[in-house]
Amino acid sequence: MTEQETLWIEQARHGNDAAFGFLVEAFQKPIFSLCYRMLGNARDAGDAAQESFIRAYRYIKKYDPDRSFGTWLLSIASHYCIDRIRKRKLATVSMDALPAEIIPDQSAPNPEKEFRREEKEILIQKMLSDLKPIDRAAVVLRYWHDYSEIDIANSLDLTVSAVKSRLYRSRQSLAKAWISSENANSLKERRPYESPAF
Amino acid sequence: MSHQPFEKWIFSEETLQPDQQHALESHLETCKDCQQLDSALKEFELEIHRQPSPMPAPGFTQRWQTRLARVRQQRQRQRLWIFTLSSFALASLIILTLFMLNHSQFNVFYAFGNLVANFSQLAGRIIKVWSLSRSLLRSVPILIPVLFTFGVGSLSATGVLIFTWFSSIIKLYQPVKEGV
Repeated sequence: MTEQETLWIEQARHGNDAAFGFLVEAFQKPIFSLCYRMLGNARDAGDAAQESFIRAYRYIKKYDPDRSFGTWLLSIASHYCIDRIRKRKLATVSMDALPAEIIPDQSAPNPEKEFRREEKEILIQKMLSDLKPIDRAAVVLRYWHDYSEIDIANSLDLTVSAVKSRLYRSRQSLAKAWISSENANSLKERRPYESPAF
Repeated sequence: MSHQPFEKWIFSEETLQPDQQHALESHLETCKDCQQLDSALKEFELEIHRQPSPMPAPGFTQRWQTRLARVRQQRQRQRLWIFTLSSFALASLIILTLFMLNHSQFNVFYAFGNLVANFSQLAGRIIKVWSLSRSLLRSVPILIPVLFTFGVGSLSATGVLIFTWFSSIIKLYQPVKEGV
């Protein structure tokens, strides 16, 4: 955290809205990124990120300055996204919500590569959406925000051993899902050349 | 073939001892299933780092400020509604109680007269109690400091309650501070 950010936090704690605005500007990317990975689409992610900042603004006086502000914000956003997923009681990214077909962007320098990347991104989102909300939050914080198991435990109000077991289970299911998708892809690619006789 | 503890070692992030690492490598050379799981996890982790970071649409902070102003307005309106409705409910309850007490011959003037009569009756009783307490106080001088403390205490408590009530009403009707 920079000195400037510390100053903004102090000012925001004393009711300075402009200072909180600067904090929103500074932390919007990690918060949006977390919400995007949790909820699976930019529209919901934008809304959730805004709501997380509203909650942070409301509870700024409860913020402990000894703790990292970014961690505190990510914790608020994680809890908000978990609640939101539970409320809608649906998988975050249902198959309907995902584009059925990706049309390669012909204007991109390498449309084929871009197509593959987008395909992988959709696959990752789909795999994340199949995890339980808390497991998903743990995976997102671990892989996208480089959080340690202790930080994840603090952010999600879990014990370290609970985080370890959730991450273990998630990795296992992600690896299995990855293998299935690879198998499905290889089948799809092989099928056009196969003879119906075999 | 048993995949334990190799599967556990693949998915947990704990640092393996050199002999464990060696055992895992040997197992991966022979076990297709574990090999597949290990490489799938590695590919997944690699792919995550290849993905570009999603960015919010431009004007995020401005949208947040607009939203904050809207949320504040909503909360103020909500508070006013709660206060107005609760005041209305309280007033209705008082009127209804008065009406129930006098429903047989409800008349504003009669009700007012009745109220005054009740108050004067109450005042008469208070005076009686007061004179009785005074005579009691005279007869038991040791009780004086105790009674005095209670009297001052209840008066102060009433004063604090009235002050809190008025200040909360004033606060509720004040416009929300828009920031520094």
